[in-house]
Amino acid sequence: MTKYAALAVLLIALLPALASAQAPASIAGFVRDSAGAAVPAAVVSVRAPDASEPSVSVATDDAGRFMIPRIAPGTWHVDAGRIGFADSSLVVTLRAGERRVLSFVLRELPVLLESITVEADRARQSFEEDAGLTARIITAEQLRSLPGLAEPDVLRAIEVLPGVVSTSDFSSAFNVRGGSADQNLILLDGIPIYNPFHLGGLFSVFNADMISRAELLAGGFPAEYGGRVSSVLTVESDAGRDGFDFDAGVSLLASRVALGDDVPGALDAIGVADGRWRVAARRSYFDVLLQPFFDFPYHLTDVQGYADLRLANDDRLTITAYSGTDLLDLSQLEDDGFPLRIRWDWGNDLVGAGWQRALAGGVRLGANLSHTRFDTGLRFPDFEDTDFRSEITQTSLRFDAHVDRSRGFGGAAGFSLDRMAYDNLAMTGGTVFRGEDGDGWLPALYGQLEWRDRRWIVEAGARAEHWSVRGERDYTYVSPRFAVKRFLDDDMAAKLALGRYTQYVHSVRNEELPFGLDIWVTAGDRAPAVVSDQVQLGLERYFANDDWFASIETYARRFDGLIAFNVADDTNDPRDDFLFGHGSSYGVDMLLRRDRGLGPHGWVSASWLRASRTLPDPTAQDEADGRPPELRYPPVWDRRVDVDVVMSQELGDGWELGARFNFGSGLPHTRAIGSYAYLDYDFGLGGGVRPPSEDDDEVDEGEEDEPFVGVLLGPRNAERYPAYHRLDLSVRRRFERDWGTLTAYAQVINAYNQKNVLFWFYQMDRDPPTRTGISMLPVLPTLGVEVSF
Amino acid sequence: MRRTFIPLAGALLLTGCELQEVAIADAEPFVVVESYLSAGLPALVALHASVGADELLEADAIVELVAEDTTLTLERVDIDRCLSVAYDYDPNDFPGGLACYAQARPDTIVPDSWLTEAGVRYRLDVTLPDGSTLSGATRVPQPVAFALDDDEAPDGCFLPPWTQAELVWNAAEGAAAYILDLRVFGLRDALAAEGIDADIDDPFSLRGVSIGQADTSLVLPAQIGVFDRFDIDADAALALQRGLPPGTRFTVVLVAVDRNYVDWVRGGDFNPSGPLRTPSLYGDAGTGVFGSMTLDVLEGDTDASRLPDDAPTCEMGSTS
Repeated sequence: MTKYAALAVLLIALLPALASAQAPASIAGFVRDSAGAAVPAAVVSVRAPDASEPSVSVATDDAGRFMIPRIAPGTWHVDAGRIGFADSSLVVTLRAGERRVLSFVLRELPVLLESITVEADRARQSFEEDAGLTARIITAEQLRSLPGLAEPDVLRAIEVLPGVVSTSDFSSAFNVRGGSADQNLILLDGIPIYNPFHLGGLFSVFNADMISRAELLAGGFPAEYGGRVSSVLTVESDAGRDGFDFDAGVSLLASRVALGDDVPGALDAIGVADGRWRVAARRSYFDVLLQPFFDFPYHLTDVQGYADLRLANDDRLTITAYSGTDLLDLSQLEDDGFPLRIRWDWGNDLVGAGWQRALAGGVRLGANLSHTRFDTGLRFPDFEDTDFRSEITQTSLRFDAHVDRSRGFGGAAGFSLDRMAYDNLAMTGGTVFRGEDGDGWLPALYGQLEWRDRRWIVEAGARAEHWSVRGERDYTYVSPRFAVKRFLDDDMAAKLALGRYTQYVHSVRNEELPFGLDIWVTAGDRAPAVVSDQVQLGLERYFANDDWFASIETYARRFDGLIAFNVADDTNDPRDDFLFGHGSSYGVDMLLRRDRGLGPHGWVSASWLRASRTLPDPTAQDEADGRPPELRYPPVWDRRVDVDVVMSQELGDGWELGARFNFGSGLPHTRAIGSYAYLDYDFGLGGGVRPPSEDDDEVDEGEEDEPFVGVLLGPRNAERYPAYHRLDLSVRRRFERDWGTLTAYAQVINAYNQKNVLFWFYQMDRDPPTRTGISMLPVLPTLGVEVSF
Repeated sequence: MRRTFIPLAGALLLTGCELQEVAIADAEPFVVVESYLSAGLPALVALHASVGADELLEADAIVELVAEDTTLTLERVDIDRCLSVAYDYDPNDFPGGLACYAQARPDTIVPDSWLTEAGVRYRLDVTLPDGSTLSGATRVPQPVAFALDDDEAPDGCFLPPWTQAELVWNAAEGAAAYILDLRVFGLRDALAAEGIDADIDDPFSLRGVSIGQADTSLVLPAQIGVFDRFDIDADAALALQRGLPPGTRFTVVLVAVDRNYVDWVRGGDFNPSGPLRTPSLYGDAGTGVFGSMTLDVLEGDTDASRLPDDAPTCEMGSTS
């Protein structure tokens, strides 16, 4: 594998040198608003003094940055503008070979349009430029206006997008279009992040103060994306506003603080022309709040940093770092009633850097290097023979080149090299109950060609990957991708996307459990690679002066190489820990969205899904060939109908209302059909059965002495819980002061206290048998305050 | 002392979220068959019905044990035959009733070959009066024995107080796991003499486990009792990490169990209604296990004066 690494390093090293031979004169710079915030998607044009039409136009990126290379020496008018802002113009005279840096400040128009409008423009841009991609954008503003549990959470916001199913209020994990949760690639500034959850899944690791936007690619993603088969969620960091900025928030979950500034001028000496940095930290305080009542020694901490730098040669360099830990420390309790000292921690660490360069002819180069790690450890300080741990790491190096589709043709190509390693161990009492580790290399190449005319966009590409694990089976796949879009008029288009997607990592967490940590294994001898063939067909349209957007998409997916825990594995066969199977899903997603214009913003989405899994049933009698029979069943995320309504409304005087309503048809579950005495076998003194010794425990007064029973189940996931529905409300009040802005908010989760079912417990040993259960979140009001300046 | 209520804290968000209890349709009646063949012992087959389905056991079932070309039909016998001698029968523990099938008069009718033999494959067929059936098969693991031969320690081995001993045994072909049942006699008093006030039974029982045929050692007593650490007295658990206190005696039953037994006891997927078990008996009558095992017993003492002068120590690690 070292040759791949060497090749990649060589490419990275050579490209800047190759690129520097270009562009004798150029213009680069920033577009900001009057508050200093970056203005993305602004159009910057260069025109001759006597011309009415621009010679060239470019759009600013997320950081408000633009770059126009290869401009002839002379005098030029440079205009910058965007909807909702007054245009700004400058006149520049360029010398041969000069690199001019310009900074535009756009003044907001009297009728304020929210920054959501910017994202509406981006969505429109995606509509006009992407052939098959299904991209759903959540902005920082939408994130804050969405009612959430204690504080804004991007993964909670994702749940209300079409095609996305959440199975529990207690978990931020999500399923997209029938895929399992481990088939979602979650990226922070392009860096993969595993298990991005705090508190067993209740909250995500993403600090809202550091998020610029999130984008869910629910299907039809092009060849540059690999690694997961179901969806890609990209979360982008926010470099903050111009100059020094400060944000802080207090919620019932945690306190958080973020601050940022322009990079010091002294960095000129190392080639940094300008840029921004920003860091944020967060800590929960359940342990402190609950201390008067009982000990709950749990807390989470996370720290995130981001820098967005422009180098002297106009290259862009971004640096992202994150470290977060959850700690449940039961090792210091002073209670005789809790016999074991336990310390359980889990968390993520990641760091990465990205480099971008714009060249003449619409060529953009990029390179990224990153490392990410998730690990968890459960320790019993008094018992040295016990070690429960799980870790997965991924180191990635990738290089991308894009050619903008300016003359009908465009394209992209790239190379990546990933190393993934995992180490899972469950050992106690001198016995390894579960232990596996492995590491592998994943070199990948992709290429994509794009062509468009006034009515058509066609994208065709392929991704080639070779996954190899030391001493185990290799996997090589070439995954074709194809997408076509036909514009029926300027505002309406039909699209079709087909593709094969692969992934080489699995979570072995039992998704029947509504919360918990993923334990990861990579493909190899124990588990196959996942291969998914997908097709989707859609129709989308803008109307009412682009204020409204509507889309309908239908899709079908097949998944091969799925795994599940083998509950009857042979303890003498290290290779049969998992069952291999396949699955499928198909459905329809509809979206009606309003992101701009006066009045309420928001969306209505409706999804219909039918998913299935087919896996061997190890609890059934083997077939004649010695293998267990296959069982087909709907997975626990097979929510047939899902309707979401999301709305926010500015009322003036700083008031803003938010509402979110979700209806979901019942999720499948497996019910008990009977119970029986649960017995032990007594090895000594001639054998014989008996109830478990726990049954001999003393029974509290008034408590019924019930036998310990096991249960027999009916057909897997053959029954469904009642429909789920929930209304969340929020109200925010923003106070503008000389020193900054204070925002107070109140939220109510599950406003009408609907008892949505988390579990049903069947008590078949009662006469008559009964059913009770546990509901999801009850009505839950929360308060919080945010400060920024 | 501060109130510590960890389970409640863990379920904080669930507080007040219990759903109303409702009556539902009757449970489906079925039979559970549990049979564990132990090398050197006659076959026993326990039938218990699901809760409320006692009538399934009223009429006799046909229970047949097949080894190679020979079939033995077991007869319904007194339920005591299927129960552990350490257990006082309480009908409330068997809400679906209990029936026991065994060789009626093993001393006179059944040849010695019908005592369970190590390495032999057996098949069990159960037919209920309504014609429904359950059947399955097991191959008894090969004999298992501690590395300390019985001839070397006919009266037991010596474990110096507050020390550990590595117990070692042979790899028994066909074993899916090894279970070590430890019973310590006099532990409560011995700990009290050391100033440790432990709320434990006497004798005190702990269970250890090794997974897989090739995992053939465990440290006595520290590594025995991994599943008991949440339940037993914390002071006793910590003390056992150092060894056994002076004055205690112990017995270790080493059991090589087959895959059927392991599947049954370790359960299946998660279900909120209760524990599941992975069966090895299949059919339309219900569910069940047909497991098998071989075993060996080791006795020991922390008081050398109660052992012969030439009693070996319990440490076997050097023999592996």
